[in-house]
Amino acid sequence: MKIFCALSIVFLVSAMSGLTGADAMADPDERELYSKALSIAQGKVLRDRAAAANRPGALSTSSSALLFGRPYQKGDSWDLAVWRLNQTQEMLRPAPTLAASELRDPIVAESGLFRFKVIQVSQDAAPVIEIEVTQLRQAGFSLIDPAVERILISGDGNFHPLKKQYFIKNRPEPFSVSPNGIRKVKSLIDFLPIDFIPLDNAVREELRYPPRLPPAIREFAAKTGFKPDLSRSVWLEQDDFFGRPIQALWEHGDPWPSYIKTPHGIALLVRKGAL
Amino acid sequence: MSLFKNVSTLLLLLLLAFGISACGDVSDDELSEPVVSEADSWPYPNVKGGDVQGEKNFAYLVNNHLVGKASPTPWAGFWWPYGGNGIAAGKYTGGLSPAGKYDAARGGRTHAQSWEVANHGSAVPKIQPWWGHCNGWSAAAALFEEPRSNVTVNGIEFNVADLKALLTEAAMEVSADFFGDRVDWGSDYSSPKLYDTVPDQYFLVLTNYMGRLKQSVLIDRYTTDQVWNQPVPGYQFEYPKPSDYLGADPQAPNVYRILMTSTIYWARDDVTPEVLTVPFNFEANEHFESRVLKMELWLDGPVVFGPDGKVQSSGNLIVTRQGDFFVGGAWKMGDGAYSDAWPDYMWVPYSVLKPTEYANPWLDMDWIRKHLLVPGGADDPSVNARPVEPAPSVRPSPSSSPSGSPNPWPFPTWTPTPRPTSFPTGGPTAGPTFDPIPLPTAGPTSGPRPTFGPAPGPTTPAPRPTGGPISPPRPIPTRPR
Repeated sequence: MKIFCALSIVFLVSAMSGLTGADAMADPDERELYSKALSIAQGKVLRDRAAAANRPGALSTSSSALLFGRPYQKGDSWDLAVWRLNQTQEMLRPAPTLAASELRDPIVAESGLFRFKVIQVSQDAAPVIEIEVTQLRQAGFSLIDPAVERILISGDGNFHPLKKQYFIKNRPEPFSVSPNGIRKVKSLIDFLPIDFIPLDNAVREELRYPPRLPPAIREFAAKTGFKPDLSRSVWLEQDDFFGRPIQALWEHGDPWPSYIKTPHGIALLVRKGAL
Repeated sequence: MSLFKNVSTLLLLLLLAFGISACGDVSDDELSEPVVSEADSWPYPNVKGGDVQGEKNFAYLVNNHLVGKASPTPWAGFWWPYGGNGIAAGKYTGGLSPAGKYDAARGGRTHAQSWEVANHGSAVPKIQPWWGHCNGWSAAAALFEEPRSNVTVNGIEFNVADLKALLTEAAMEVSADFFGDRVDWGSDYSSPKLYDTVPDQYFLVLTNYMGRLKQSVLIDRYTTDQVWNQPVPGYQFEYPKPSDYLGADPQAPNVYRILMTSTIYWARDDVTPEVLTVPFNFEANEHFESRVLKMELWLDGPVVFGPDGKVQSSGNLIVTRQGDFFVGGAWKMGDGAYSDAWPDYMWVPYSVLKPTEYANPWLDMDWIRKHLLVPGGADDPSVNARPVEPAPSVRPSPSSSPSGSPNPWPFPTWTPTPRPTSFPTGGPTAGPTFDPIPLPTAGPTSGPRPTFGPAPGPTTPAPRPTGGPISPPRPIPTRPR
């Protein structure tokens, strides 16, 4: 059987090769695709350069302050409900109940509730916002990683992440990791969209319809009255380190995006304002 | 086109008649050495030395991580086909299955064997011949050192094949990072899914994860619709020559292009289950295969070569997208190699998850780690072992003939995707804005609604992908699913 399989594949590839012998770049379609890709790449380079050149030094004129409506202050606080998404590329998912279009949808896995609290704002030449993030066991949410007592994240006014520290139970010293770093080992909490998202080089777009939520999250959103005002919101498209999509919906005046989606998680802003 | 359709039909019949599988077949080998466990299940202590900030600078990566090797080396294994009852198969282990031995060692308190037959075995309704455990094996081969000697627990002996099978099943559900969208069927050949992973992404994943961290990377090596998950033990890039540097294209004066060639290796899944993997030495052999990939990488700054021919400085690699249209270099694989070209997707597994609906829920990774992944094995005094139940017999496999059988799953029946006459089509009516965000300047209540670019939100139809200088694939026959 192995021989037959191998022969079949060889035969298949040979047949295809024989039918596609023309010089690829001579094909106007491919040339057009190549040009379009170059144009998008060029746009990305220009966007990054412009953002770097126009980066403000003061928090009051930073991207986050403009979206929030004011610079962050110590004590600002909000809660995010967060779900981890399991990607399904590698899986055989023959569930007969799934429509073809749903087969590659990620599976909604663990969920958690996280309290964000601004604990320090530095107005120095290099402004820094420090936020303490704590898991909450409330409203039916359990702790995603009970070993993690809290997390400290810091970023600049344009939401470029600068630092990330885990405070682990029964460990005296915090444990530092590279913000948005590449790791050999990850806790499930590392997959969640609880980090700063660079704003000033994001592509922004108008959003006419609310983001499509997976059924489990849609149900939660309906129950909790989650309904961002799209007319006052900006849709942000950002790339992660590997070019994968990070999407956020930020309603003007909110302290944090109402909705964030990364390849591995979804977050909804469920409480804003002082405690 | 009609010739192609005829050839396609003939091939489809041939492939189905001979039961093409996604994961492989069988061979043989020897043994010895201790079993080593996965890294601690709790991650943070291990992050030390295993956490780096991502690096995109081409000069740095090409001068420091031109070659990468995973440590430990992922092992060759077996795909445990559903048609053979998955890990409830006794065919390879003397009539007693790995799942059956597991149940026996746990005193009959678990039912891994019966679950396996019902859910990953020949009793699965409408089973297809290519269904198997190649994703579980790939992840297990990356996460666990290779079991190389037998262990005994509560009087039940587990050989290397049993241990590999149990790790394979446990790793059917893992936490992982994914790069690239999977191609599922013929209609995807004209979608952006086909072209990712893009070359810059491929380069960044390999050099950052494997080059810098020695982390195993997994790939679906089948570019089009079939799924062949394989663990990568190593990669090599050829050092670029000044003549490989193409500079900027006039229409994109800030995008700098350079030609690169790599060889990627993967461990095989068509070996006998008890095989002991030979050391990986960047060569294809009975346990490893390889492929040469040619590409054009795109950078945001020029490449400068020194008089010694070394890259002195460069820009960073560009990876971005517009909608689902991923951008970052161009594959230069030539015509015809569509299925054996770039990885359909790449992934990096981190840890075994608690089984939900997909992995065998009777397998307890903590128990496996504690009792099976220690040299010689460790008894579990909390239970009395039961005799091992014989492996269940395999039900006759369904006809794989495509003629007359209804499509068993909600997969589209394959129809040739006509080659588009022009690209791109169906994209957004306008691209996103590329300027730095002119953010609203007013407060939360008084700000005017900002005027934005015309691009719609996340449900926007995706534009056509780029393929760079490679022909868009012609439709090829897919298995009925």
